[in-house]
Amino acid sequence: MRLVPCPDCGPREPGEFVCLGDSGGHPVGEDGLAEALYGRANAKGPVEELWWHKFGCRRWLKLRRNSATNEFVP
Amino acid sequence: MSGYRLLPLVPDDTVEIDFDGMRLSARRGEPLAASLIANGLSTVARSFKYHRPRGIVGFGSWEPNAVVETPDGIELATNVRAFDGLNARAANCWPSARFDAKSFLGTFSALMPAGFYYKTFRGPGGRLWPLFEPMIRKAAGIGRLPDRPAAETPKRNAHCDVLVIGAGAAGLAAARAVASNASRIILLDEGEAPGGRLLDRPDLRIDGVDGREWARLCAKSLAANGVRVLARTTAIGRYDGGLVVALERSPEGRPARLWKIRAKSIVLATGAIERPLVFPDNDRPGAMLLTAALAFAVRHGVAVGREVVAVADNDAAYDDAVALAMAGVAVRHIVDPRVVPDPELVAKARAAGIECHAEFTPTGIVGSPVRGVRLVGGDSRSRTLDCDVVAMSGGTTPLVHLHSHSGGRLRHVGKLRAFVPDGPHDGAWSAGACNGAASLDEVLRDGSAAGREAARAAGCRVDSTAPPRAEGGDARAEPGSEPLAADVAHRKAFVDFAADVTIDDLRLAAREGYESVELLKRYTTTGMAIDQGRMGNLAAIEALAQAKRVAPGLVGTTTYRPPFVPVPFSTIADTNGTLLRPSRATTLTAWHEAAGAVMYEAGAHWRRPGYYPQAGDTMEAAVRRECRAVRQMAGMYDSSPLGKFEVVGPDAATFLDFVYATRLSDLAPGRGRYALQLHEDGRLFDDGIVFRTAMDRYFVTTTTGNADACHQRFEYCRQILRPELRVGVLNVTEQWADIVVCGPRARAVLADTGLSLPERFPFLGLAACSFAGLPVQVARAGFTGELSFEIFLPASAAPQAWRDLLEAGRRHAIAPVGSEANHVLRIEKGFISVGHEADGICGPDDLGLSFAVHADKPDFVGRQALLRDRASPSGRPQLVGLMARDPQFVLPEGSAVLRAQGDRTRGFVTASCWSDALGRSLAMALIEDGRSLTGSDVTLALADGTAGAQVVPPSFYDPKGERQRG
Ligand SMILES: [Zn+2]
Repeated sequence: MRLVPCPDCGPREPGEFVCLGDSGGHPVGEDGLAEALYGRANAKGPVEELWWHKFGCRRWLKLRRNSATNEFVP
Repeated sequence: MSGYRLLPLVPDDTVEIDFDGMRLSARRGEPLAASLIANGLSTVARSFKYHRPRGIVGFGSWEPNAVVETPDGIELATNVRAFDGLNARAANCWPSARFDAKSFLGTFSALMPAGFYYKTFRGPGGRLWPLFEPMIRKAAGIGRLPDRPAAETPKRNAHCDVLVIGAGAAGLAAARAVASNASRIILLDEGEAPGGRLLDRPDLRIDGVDGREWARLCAKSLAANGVRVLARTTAIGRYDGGLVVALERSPEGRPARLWKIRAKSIVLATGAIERPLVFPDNDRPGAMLLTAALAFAVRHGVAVGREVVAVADNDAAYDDAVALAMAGVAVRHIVDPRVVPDPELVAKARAAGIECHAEFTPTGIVGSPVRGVRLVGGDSRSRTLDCDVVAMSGGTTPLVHLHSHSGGRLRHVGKLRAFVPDGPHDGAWSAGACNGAASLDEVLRDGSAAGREAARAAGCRVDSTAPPRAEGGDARAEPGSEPLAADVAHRKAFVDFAADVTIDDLRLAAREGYESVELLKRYTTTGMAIDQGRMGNLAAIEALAQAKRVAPGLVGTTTYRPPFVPVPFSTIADTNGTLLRPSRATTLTAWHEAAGAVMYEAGAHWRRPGYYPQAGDTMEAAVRRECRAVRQMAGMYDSSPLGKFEVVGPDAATFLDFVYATRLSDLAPGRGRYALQLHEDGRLFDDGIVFRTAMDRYFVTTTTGNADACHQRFEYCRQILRPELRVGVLNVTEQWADIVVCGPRARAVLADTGLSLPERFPFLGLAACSFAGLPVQVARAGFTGELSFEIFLPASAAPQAWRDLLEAGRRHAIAPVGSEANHVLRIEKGFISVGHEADGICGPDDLGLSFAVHADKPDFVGRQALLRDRASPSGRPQLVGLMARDPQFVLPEGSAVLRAQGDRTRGFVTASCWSDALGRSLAMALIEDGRSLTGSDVTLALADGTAGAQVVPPSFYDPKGERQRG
């Protein structure tokens, strides 16, 4: 329920966003394919996440969030 | 308990109310509980489990017993206000609280120990639960909801620098510590007027004035400086990042507004509530909290009884008892289990005419309602004191709930025998009694300090005037070491009144091994009733600590969760008529509704027509008629919810080649192609037709249900995966309406409407046309397998165009067609539907869509996984058609498919219908290696038996597609 810091729009309600988490990116090549598709670290502490400001500027944001406290960290 | 009014009713202020069928006089606006007490009613409720007679115990939201049904809903009698015509009845009893048909349960209560229901009905070998569950469920719960729907509660958002929750001494001191003229401050309090416990204690003085007057003036000057002061408002939850949800009530006590407040800093000055003492029969009507008795007397002019005995183990109770006596209530005795109470306090009490008995412990209650209290002295001598009210005071429970809601830690303070916040948490500072402050001066200093901290953290200036000071001493609310009495000879000593849990229940549970406080709670249900254990939690924790022989701090507390007080669902829910979520309408929805269509909600909350019944029509008849129109003459349907995107830029072609598995870069302008999007794991995500409108511009359609998800993906691919591409994506789903005209006469309908199509207009072509003076785009595409034209036009122009087409189509027997008919038509054609056949597990090859995958492209989303899937293709679910052996029988969708009787499940029916065009039933199914079974028989497992079917290619009608290309 913390406000999400959007560089375009300022701090906004999380309901305006879609959180994709760690997306796994776009796998190219056979190596590491399964890891990219299904492996997630599920780390406690700062994690890198992708957030989409769906009901705002529609920018995809790369944000660092502390998964234990939900605080966004720089 | 024979309550009466200290202040007589005056006619102007008197209202008539109805409680359990009795007509009562009440003072306008007073709590119903005050009216009931003033009218001499002592038994006003029945307990949850044993149906024991119960009276009012607490005040405001701290009432565990008196739940009433009103026409507005289920409420606490302490919160409902008396107004003319109020009609309330006690919940959880029949026919009334005084004569309750289920009171026999109390007689059997010795047979209902902790975990009774689990042990009796669900235990080993217990097969009784299914039999008894309906009866138990019926007997569970408190009260009946009113028949009519609750009025919706307006929601309000607010933002502020500092939010102060609680306008008692601590909250007011905190709000005053912030320079109010330069900051946005919200101060909210549950009470009618600010002051909190100051309101009950005329003897307290702050900065030279009466505490009540100080509170009034303080709130007034704050409001004058721009502080938003909310009365009758309870904070019900605190969440991450300074979000607080609060419920504001009307003067009548009804939910009036739900506040969602975002604050940079929060001061939690929620105070503390009194604890009852645990001794046998402590729940008899007439046994109540001392502070509640005081509040009824001072705030509402109602005496709770003729003769009060206070049973208390802390110093503060002496001041409260004296204040109660000063208010005109006859307090006869104070009984104190401690050996040496403060002699000064004892002298003060004696001066007020109260007899004090040190080293006496309550061992029982005489009568129900209360006629006396039994005591045992330090010398083991017993005695009984006559009274009609036993006013209990067992120390205080700091209200730490809001601190805990979003994860604040607690620590146990032995002196208070209570848990308090272990420092500020996430921008929230606790202050005052909820923070463990035990005297007024401590409360004021704590409040000021928290206010200053909160102001600094929010970047506000701190007020420079001196913080308020209490004058004279007041007693501290620290309890003695409480004796926890056992149930004596089946006489129950209640810990949790609301959940009907006794001290013996807790000890039994501990003996049975429920040693974690969370398990103890769930097993005994302590803390799980309407007051969420506010009143009994600490006693329950102490009981468990004693049983485990550890300190209560090591037992810990259960998890506090919102809402802090019971809140009707209707205050939280947003309702939209009969729908739970807001719905979306196309510009044609109103026409469909006027035409009598049965409306469905489809993908992304769109309201769209399912079918258009004519007079006396069944759904089946309507669907057949609509299908026939499309196959033989002409049909038209509203496809506006379809996802639509403009993809524009020099790299638009490269971009779409990356997003789609289908090659789109070689499309000529004015042409379209059926294209697939895959997930990164190679499974089908979405399908649709992509048109090229210019070398650097595409018009992309997606499925209705995935329109939003496609938008998200397009932007993800554009911004994250391929940021180097010069391309823009615009979601134009709502800007363009989409009317589809289909059937053998479709071209004639368009011609009659004055829509001139290009001379050469092949299948999947797109043309810019003019329609009634409007620029529109027409595509030769559709989902029915017939000659079909999709007219994309500005959404606002759709209603007129729809009527024109319908008018021109009349000569061609055109019919509007709903989604039910579309479903049949697409099954006849074997077209897949995302969500039915593309279920997130199937890849394009499984669905027979390899033709639309161009894996020779160097890269696209899902390519790598797709290639790996192709390397090991066996055992995949594959799309096939099914023809039931009995052509009249429509196979139920979802039926399991077996190769033969006794085989394991190989797949399931994804779609099924009656087809008029083929004169028989049809179905599609996903079956393991299904294509290899073509021509053979399979067995379907039905709810009642089995059915046989033949596996066929999944295209039943015009398999070569000549009609749609014609
Ligand atoms: Zn933004």
